Amino acid sequence: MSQPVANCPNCGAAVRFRFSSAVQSVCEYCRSIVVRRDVNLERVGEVSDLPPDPSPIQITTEGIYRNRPFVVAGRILYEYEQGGWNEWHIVFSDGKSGWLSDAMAEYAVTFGVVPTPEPLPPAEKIHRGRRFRWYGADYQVTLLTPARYRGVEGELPFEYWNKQQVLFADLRTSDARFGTIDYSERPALLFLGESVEFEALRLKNLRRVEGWDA
Amino acid sequence: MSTAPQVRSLNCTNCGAPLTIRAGGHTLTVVCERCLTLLDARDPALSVLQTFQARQRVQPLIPLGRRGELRGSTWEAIGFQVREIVVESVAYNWSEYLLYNPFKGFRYLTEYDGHWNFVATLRALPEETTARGRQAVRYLGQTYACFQSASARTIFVLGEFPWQFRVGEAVYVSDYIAPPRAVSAERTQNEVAWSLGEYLPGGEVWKAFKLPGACPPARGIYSNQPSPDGPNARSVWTVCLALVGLLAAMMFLFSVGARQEEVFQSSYTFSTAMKGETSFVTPVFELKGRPSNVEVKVDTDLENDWAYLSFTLINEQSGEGFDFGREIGYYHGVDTDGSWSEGGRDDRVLVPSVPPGRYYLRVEPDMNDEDGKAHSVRYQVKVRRDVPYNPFFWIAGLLLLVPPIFVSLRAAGFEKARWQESSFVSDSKSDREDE
Amino acid sequence: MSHPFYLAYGVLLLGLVGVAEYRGLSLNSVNQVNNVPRTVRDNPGAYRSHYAFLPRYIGGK
Repeated sequence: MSQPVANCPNCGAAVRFRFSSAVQSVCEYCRSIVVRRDVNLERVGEVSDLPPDPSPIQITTEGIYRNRPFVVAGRILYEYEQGGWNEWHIVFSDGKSGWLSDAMAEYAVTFGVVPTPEPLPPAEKIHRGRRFRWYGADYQVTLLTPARYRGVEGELPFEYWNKQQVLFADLRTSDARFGTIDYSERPALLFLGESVEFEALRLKNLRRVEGWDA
Repeated sequence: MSTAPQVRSLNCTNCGAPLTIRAGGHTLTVVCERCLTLLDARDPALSVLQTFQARQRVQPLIPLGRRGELRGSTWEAIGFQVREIVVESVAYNWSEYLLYNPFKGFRYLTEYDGHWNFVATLRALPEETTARGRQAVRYLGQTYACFQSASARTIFVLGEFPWQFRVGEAVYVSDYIAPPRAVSAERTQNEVAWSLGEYLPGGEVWKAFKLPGACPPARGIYSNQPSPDGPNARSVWTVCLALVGLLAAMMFLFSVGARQEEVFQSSYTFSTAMKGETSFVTPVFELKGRPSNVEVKVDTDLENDWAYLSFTLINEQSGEGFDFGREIGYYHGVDTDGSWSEGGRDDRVLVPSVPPGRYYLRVEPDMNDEDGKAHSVRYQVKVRRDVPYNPFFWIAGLLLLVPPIFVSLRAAGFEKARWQESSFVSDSKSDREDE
Repeated sequence: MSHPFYLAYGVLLLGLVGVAEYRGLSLNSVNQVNNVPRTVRDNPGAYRSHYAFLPRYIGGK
């Protein structure tokens, strides 16, 4: 995965470390033992590392959702206390915008719902497990994430974004529908859609992931 | 975020040759193979290695960075953690490996006591319900019974996880089983995450990752370990039913098809007072058909007395004979306990496998002639050809039941042992034992 | 086809039962004698059955 690569101090050949916090490796060419000095040893065994961005999606990636082709036009990177995720801005051939959420290699396509089916509870009142019934499905809050924008890329359907702390609530149903309440604005924004499998999107023009064939 | 790692190489300070690292347990020594110098422990590079080694309290069975093929995809082991739960004051810990494929996402391999599970996170929520008085969940049409609920703490972590966590962080884990699958819910203050696991034998993991040696043996029975009898315990009874049905049909056919032909019948008297030769022969009768049985029935009028009849069934032409003797006694009376009786007035015997032909009976009756009293009896002899005989069917029926009963008992024993490990014990006996 | 061994075992049992039934076998056995002479019909007393010699039966309570 992220197998850090360094140059062998003896012979200059590429030396690969087996995993992110591995401290030793052997140079295949000169057989020297190569030791890392920049690993925080206090964290070894105690704290996990984050993989570098695992997503093979990039801007200009194309895909199909429910028989409608789309193009990835932009991206918002979110960061929270323990990690991060991507929200890809996708644009369909009829000009409609949607969001492809990419979190820990789990994907969901959602669309903004305006107006919301009912007034959404304020951020102080939302809690894990709270239920809503919208459009014939029972949604349950499964995740609350205080997050902030880490960066943006490409084209987005709005011009201004808030860099402060924002609360997101993820909702799921028993039939794999997915929703997000975005508390960056007042009133809160609602996005509804469904979980999707990577293969189902039939993505093309993906980023090459080193060491992996698609 | 990803800058090139800073490294230095480790060479022998004495002769400059490459070095060998020996790691044993928690310590690590570095030796120069050429000049056999032990590297100075104060060397900063060596101290990095030694500190790392000391902190590796647990060695993952699947080395991080290793790739393997499972369920048709390639996965790389990128993270490892050990988690602990405490149930009834006993600590149990298990390992988890994070597997990654950039096009398939993440999966987990969990390992406990040699039992492995291949786990994926669920996007659709299972529905909470009850089944047979226990908490359960329903997912994709299957019901999973609650097996265990406990708070789980991470006690060791190595490598990468898609979210950063620290040793000591706890989640509340609930496990639901439907062997060979299991559904788990992990809850924290702000999150609930559901996953679905499938039991894997250690051998499959070893094969997938091409690990050396043998996998650690599985000890005990794991929550979602499939029963080795499993569906067999039910399907064997279907086969049993079919076989018993066939047996019953056979019994019916033989019963209906038996000739049951009365070939001879006559009445006689005998008395100890009779003089001369008491044995006699009956007229000849014909036994037809295949070599089937012959029933010889004797009805007497014995009253608190016994008689002994010696029979020989003789084939008139071949001289082949079947020799047998019958003791018949009947006693009855009344005493302080009430009326009693012993024995019977009538007797019936089957002569097996008698070939067809012309036969007669030689009869030699006998009674008590030593007590000076006169004994006599009147009796009737009836001979029937080819009567139904059922004991073989009952025996075969019982023998047919033995394997399915054995399989069912074994499967039940396995399930009992499985649920011993559960934190939900439903019988009140073990509740009392806790007190 | 599931449970081939059990099925074979069952079919074998049924086969054995069928053969036993067809041949008129039973659990009890009867002593077979050969070459009983024709003269027994005229003189039954001359034939000594194996079962003529019997242990005296003492019945009653």
